[in-house]
Amino acid sequence: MGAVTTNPWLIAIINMTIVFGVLIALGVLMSLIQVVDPTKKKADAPKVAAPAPAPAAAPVAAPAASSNDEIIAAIAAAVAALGCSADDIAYVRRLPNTGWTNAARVEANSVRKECF
Amino acid sequence: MEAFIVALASVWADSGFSALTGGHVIMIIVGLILLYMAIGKGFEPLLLSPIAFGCILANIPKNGFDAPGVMSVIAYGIHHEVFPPLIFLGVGAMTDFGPLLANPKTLLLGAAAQGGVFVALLGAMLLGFSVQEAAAIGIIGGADGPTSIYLAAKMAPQLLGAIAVAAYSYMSLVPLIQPPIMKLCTSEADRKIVMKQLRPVSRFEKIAFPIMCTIVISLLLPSVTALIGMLMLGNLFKEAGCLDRLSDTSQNALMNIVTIMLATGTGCTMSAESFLNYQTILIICLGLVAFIAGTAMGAMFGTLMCKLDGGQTNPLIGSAGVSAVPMAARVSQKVGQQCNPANFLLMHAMGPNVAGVIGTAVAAGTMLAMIGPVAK
Repeated sequence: MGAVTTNPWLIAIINMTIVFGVLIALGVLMSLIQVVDPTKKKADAPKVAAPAPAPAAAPVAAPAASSNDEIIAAIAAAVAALGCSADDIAYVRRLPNTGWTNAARVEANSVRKECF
Repeated sequence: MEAFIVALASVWADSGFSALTGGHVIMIIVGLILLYMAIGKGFEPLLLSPIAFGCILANIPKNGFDAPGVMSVIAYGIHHEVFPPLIFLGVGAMTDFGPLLANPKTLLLGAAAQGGVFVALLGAMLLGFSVQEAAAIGIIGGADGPTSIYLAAKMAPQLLGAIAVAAYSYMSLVPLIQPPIMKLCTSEADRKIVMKQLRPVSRFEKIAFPIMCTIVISLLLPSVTALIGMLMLGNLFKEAGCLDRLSDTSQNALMNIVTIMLATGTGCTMSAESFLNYQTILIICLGLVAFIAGTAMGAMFGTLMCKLDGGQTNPLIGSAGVSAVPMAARVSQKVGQQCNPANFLLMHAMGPNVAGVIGTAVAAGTMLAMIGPVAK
């Protein structure tokens, strides 16, 4: 089959419309997947039962393990390196998975040298 | 003595030197410059080195690449679109769709950045390229090497070398090309915006998305089923949790092997006869225009999104909508941190970045459906 049209303006307008349309449809699909996610309730359940988070007033929460002290020290040093003081830290608390997962993602994306 | 001279003359006549032309010498020098840029300057060394070496090999006269052998197998893989889908398999296995699933509106940024494709298409047609050639040149603006090669092989095989080199050269220059355009298209206040942390994405979403995405896009645009299918298959290997061996092979061993073949094969298309002409210069210029337009449109759409959502979106992530995974996202992160050292945009920019990969494949599929491949 030959070209439907050879008018470049028409090709550009139709193509951009289709690209936007398909990606919007994908967005709807993503929302749909999130809505029908059967594992969502299981993941939410422990959250309800979880105890209230530590009060935000404490400047730095004092965790029991010494390894946590090292992590907090490293975070404070990183904050200081960005030009802020340790007093700017309201609290340090461990988020369920997300923060560490994101850190791993950042690292994974930073070490890749090639570009495709 | 006479026999010795005849033997020498025979060796000379059989050697490449006897058929060496000025064009070959120029292209060998181009290959050496590209090698220097890759190894000496570190511009995309994993891709540019084999491309440069392939360029040198292609310009050795009487190299016998037309005869059956490994080089003809590599050429077959390039001209019959074998390697781009295999590269997409590896890209899929290395890609995390989590940021995109957590913030689906960034899909629009990936769509907006495809504007560069059509700006280049318009420019190419105004400069006298046929509609098929213009479509293949335009896709350089998607900053997606495998899709550029895939479309060029189908729509303008005679321009494949120039298009592939332009695409990969500009992709390696993303950190130099994008920042000034990003700054031009965004205000300093907007660049300082700190975006909210993304929500956690469940394993179910990560597994369901590649499957559903493949079915929807392939049914809509069957001509890009190979590209989208392999991209999503690779991602399924990664997310399934029980396919670690396949995921590992896809993103490491297979990816490296196919990269060697694809890049060397691309370099081998850079023979003096097909590369040293006026069209190549135009393609290189149009590629730059496409990149600039794609970056600008992504950043401008990011600004629009920022205004519409009450300042929740940092417009710098819009420029990552041109594919170039993950370099374009890194550029968003770097420019963002120049304005606000406490800002971490990398994961937010990965959303439009992977959306750009899908968007470029959709744009390629749409052009194939509308214009049709060139008859082989």
